[in-house]
Amino acid sequence: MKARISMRWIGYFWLPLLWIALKYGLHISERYLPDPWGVVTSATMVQPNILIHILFTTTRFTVGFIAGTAIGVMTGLMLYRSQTLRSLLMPVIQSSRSVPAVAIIPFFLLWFGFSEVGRYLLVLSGTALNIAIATLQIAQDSPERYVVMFKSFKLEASFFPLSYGVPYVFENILPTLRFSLASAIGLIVASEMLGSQIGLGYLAQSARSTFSLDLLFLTVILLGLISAIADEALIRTWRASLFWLR
Amino acid sequence: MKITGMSFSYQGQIIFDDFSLDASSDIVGLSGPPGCGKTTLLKILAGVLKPKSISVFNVPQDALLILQEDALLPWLTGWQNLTIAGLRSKKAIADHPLYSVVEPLLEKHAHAMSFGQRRTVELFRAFAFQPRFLCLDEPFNFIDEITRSVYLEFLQRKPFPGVVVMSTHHVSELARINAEVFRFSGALPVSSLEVAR
Repeated sequence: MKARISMRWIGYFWLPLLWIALKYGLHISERYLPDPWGVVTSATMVQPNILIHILFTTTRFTVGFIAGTAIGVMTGLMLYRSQTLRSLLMPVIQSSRSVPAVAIIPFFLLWFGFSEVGRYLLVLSGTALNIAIATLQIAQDSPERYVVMFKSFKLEASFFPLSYGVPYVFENILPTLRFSLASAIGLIVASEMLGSQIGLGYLAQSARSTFSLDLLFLTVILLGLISAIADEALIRTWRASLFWLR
Repeated sequence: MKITGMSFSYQGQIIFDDFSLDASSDIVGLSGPPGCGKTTLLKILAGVLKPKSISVFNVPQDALLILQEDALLPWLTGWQNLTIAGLRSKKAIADHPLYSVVEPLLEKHAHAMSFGQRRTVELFRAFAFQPRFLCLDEPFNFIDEITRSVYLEFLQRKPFPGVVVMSTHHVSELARINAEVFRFSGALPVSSLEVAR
């Protein structure tokens, strides 16, 4: 147990330590590998405060992801319930899957300009699509014992979204949630790079145009940290909510 | 209950070939070694599996099948697992002759129950539903001796209409409920069953 915890901490720190070792041991050029201390201090030069940028990015993907998950699960369960809806929507949903989420950013910029609504809707739609498809698949792959039980009592599993659908889907959807969360962060950063005046994506874009490798490194590190924390928070929330798996 | 000329294959393995079964009792027992086709026959009887071909299939409609794996929803309580099946009348449930075995489990979440407790609730739910055709696959696995005895006594009295088909490894259970017992030899494919005396 102790060894496992130690390994976990090593997992968090080996890359920064390697960075320090390479930078100060091998004296790699600033052009390729910036000074770790320079990267840290670059945070103080950002206007407005770096925390404001972090707050905007985090709020955007969190709100979009939560709303997208809720809408995705509801859509998936409605598709599971209605054959007509499946026939109408599945061709559109299936064909939309082949379009990379980043490719729809220009549409949102054209429709909503630089407004916040567009960014929230972008993450929401990117998340909801993934979650809806996963929800439908999970519901359709219900285990035989439940299928037989519902059939035996002359019931349709799809008519019990709260008693059966939502808990069963959430029990099995964690991998898709984690993937969708990572996608949501990627989407929000890309949209901030293309059309925003605040957020970590905007900072990364500014760093590129001002050749500030320090700030670019800082942005990437912060995004990595935010992504890791969000993923951990998602897993903990999932475990805490699904009390029957404890 | 009468079946003739039934054939069924699963993943290339012929399980039943020109199979026939003729039972006259309303409590039928199936016994035999594991993997001999008992569960498959129950699933066919319950309409979960469709045979490849069949000449006569004279079995009661509206089957309720209880598989070996319990089907209680773990996030619901015992009571909620009853209501989801349509058993909403508290009075009807409280008046049921088996109520005493399930009563301590009604407020407990299914995930917090032992295998035997979950099985107890699931069997109660099946009996309380009063199906016209009840198919039970190894119903008393994991259930303690006392509860098992209560259920067997209930089945022996059978205070409800309808046909019961039950598979088990324990032939003594079938004898206790006065079932008409059919024994699988263990060889595949199955064409007929030996009537146990």
